[in-house]
Formats: sequence, structure tokens, C-alpha cells
Amino acid sequence: MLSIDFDPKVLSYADLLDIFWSAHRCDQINSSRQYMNGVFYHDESQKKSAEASRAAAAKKQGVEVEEVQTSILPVGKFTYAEGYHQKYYLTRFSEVRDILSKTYPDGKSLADSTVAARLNAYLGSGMKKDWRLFLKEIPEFGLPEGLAEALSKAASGMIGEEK
Amino acid sequence: MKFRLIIGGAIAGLAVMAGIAPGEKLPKADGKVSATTLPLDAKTAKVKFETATFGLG
Repeated sequence: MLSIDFDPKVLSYADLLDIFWSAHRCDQINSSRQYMNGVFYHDESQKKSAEASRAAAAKKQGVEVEEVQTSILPVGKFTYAEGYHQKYYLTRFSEVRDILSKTYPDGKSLADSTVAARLNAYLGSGMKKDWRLFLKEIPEFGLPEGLAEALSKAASGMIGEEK
Repeated sequence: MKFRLIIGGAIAGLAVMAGIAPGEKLPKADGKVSATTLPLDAKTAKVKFETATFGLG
């Protein structure tokens, strides 16, 4: 289960629903509750949006609405996972992870960190990257100078490879 | 003795990971952002975020 805090001025709930539905087969039967596909709504507005998006997703995937297995349920109390589950891709970059772990030693603050989330997305695999934007953002992160320089150098290298 | 200690350590580690033994205390979401040390985090902590929750198997 994942919980995403988003700025509605930048990204809408409908945008997130589109990404969610396109990330799985909606007629896939959940193997267990722990790994179930579902939208967990926080209010009536989210519930309506989720239900409306279900029909559109089914049509897009060539599935009858009655065959959709993805659940739409009210959210319960969300519990943070252990620290070692947070910002998984950063575990491959020990220097970055060490500095963030010292800054935010508990799992909750690491999970709440925008800097950690962005670094995890940029340094992780399988996601579209805008290295020029990353290069521009690095000074805003407030990381130690040496690390910021190393990241800038790596980003510049990636921009060079794209040319 | 060493072998037993290693096995004991491995079992304790597995028990913590499975949530059988007490390990890291897992906090509940409280709507508050607890990361404010880095400048960008301090700035974004003031944004009025909405929350979306999904399960993906």
C-alpha cells in the first residue's frame, strides 16, 4: 500500500487515478489482502472520482465493469512501513542514503521528506527522468556540498549521454 | 556456541521482520510532515497537501 501526499495545484487526484489504473490489470484477482489492488478513498469526492475512473479503466483494458477485481474502499489508519522499506532505490546509493538517514533517522521522517522522494525517483529505475530539471533542483535540496557536486556531475553526465 | 548465536540472531531478525518480535515502532499517519531539516523539506512542509492511498499487488 502506498500513500501519496500531493499538491492539488500541481497534480490532480484524477491524474493519480490514471497512473494507478494503467499500472495494473484491473481484472487480476488479488492473491492476498496484503497485496490487493485497490483505491482507498479519503472522502466522498475521492470515492466518486475513483468509481467514475473504474468504468473508464475497464473500457480501456477491454474488461466488463462487472469483471473488475480492483477494490474501492474507505481508507483505514495508515501505518508507515519500516525504515528499510522507505525510499528503496536509495539503498543502492550508500552515500546519499547515509546522509539522509543521519538527517532523518526514523522511517516516518524519511518517508515524509520531499528531498528523499525526489532523489529516490531520480536515482531509481523505470521512471522517466528530466536530468536538466534535476540539475536545477540539486542546490535547493540543501545537501552537503561534496554530495551536491557529485550528483550535479552525474546529472551533467546523463545530459551529455542524451545528446 | 558461535553457531547457536548465529542461528539465534537469524531467528530474532526474522521474527522482527515478520512483526512477531518487537522491532522498529511503526507510526500511524497523523497528517503532519515530520521532515523539516533540509531547506526544501521545510518549504514543502508548509504546502497544503492532499493524500491519495492505493494498493498495488
